[in-house]
Amino acid sequence: MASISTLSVCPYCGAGCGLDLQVHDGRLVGVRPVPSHPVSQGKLCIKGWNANEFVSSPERLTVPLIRRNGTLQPATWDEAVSLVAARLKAAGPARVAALSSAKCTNEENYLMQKLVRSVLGSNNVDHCARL
Amino acid sequence: MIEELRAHCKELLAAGRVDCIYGLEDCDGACVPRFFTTAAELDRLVLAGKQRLFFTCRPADRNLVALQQAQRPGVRIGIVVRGCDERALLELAKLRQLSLEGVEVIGVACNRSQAEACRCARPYPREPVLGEKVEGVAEDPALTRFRRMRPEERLAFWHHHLGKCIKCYGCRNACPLCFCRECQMERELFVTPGALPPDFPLFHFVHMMHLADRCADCGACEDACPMDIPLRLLKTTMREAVEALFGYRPGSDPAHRSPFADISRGEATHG
Amino acid sequence: MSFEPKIVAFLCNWCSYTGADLAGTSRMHYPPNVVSIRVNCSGRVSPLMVMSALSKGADAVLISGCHIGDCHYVTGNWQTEKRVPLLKKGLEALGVDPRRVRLEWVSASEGARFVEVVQDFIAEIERLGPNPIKGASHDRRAACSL
Repeated sequence: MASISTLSVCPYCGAGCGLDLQVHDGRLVGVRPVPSHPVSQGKLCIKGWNANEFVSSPERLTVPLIRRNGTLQPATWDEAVSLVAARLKAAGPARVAALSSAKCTNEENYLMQKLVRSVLGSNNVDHCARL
Repeated sequence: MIEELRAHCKELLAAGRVDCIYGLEDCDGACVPRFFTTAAELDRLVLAGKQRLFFTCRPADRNLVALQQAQRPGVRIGIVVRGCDERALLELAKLRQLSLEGVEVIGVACNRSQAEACRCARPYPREPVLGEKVEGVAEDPALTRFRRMRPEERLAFWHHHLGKCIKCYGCRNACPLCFCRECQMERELFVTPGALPPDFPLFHFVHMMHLADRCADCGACEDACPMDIPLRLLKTTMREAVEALFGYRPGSDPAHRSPFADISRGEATHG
Repeated sequence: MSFEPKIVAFLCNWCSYTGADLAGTSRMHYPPNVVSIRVNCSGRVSPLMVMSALSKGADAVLISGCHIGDCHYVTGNWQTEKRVPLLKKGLEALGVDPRRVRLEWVSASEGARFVEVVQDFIAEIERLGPNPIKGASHDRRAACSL
């Protein structure tokens, strides 16, 4: 019948409030709090209540973009990855920084900081929640 | 009683009287709304006080039953309702947020301790299929204390409580009867954007006025409030005013529309 | 300095505003405490506008429309008649004196009655004193012009 709940955790801050994601027909249609959750106890802040919005936002990127002549233009993954790798290597650890996101998973954030610290040899990594 | 409920629902499905059952599921200790389509799934059907069936998914702007009815015209849904769920269901139907066509109401009455846990005055649907109707909580002690306050005390009370508000919109989002696409609680004309606590008392006044003739007394607003604001006191007071002024009780009669739902003169007292 | 009530009056275009205007053209004197807002019907006045006024500088709100049966839009004032008692209960629930909102029917020819209503209302609000929530809103724009 295509309406299901998926229990998850809010990505926005360190509190880790429980989310009940309402999925209908394969689309994320809403968010509910989880009354039995030990941390959030059925309550959410405004970010948690709207945590589903970014998933279907029309502003989400669908292709890599490279800035050429002052404007962002669609590019292939190969072009984008090659360009980024070359520029990061050329800049060196003291001149690179990375900014990660609350809209990424914990696993993705972990990979980001691992890349920056172990591979690029830099300490300059931060997260949008700190802004 | 839960076993009886599950058996009853399984029978309805097996007999082909409904295509699915809408109720609450035990999902790893959490209780979530679910459309059950098989007997095996129904073994996880539960009744839980603090979880409600009706709410508006945002930004879809519809409740789950309406989504099902839109996707599958003519679908027959058996809905397991307690008193508060049924009140919400009937009001939502009157307000055209879902259809009662094809809906089989499976009413379950709450017991006394459940009624006390929810401070519920009417812990039963109109015609429960399971459970005996018990008397609800005659009067919430918080309401009694509130009624006795002098105006200055009341104002100070609300100044204190509403001053804690973090404007999460949980009360609005959790409410079964809140479905407006353009919510007046978000309107810049009335509510100053970016200001905390939100404009006193206009922000909460919007909600209590707009729900006065549709509140199902389910307590979802209060349960969703992270700041423990006693929102139910406001809703109950308004509901009682609507009953006293117009003889209207939300959720009690699917045919009786709110005095504010039509343009007739009604029987209001003036002044 | 004695307290000068600030009263916001929502007056329906067809009857009450015209009645108030008649008071003016007839050179009837009434105190300048009233800020008039012309609406096309008293039924247009939302409780949210009333609360808005009360939290942005008004000590009291007057809503005035055509007499029952005379509404230019036929059913408009029936809505007002239903809404205002409920609105007052809401004020009471919050601890705001419901006497700070008044609903009166004033026809286009009742200039004298408009003056009486206003004078009576001002006197009552003088007795009640300043509205405790008049400065409550974050929105300061209206407060300076009231």
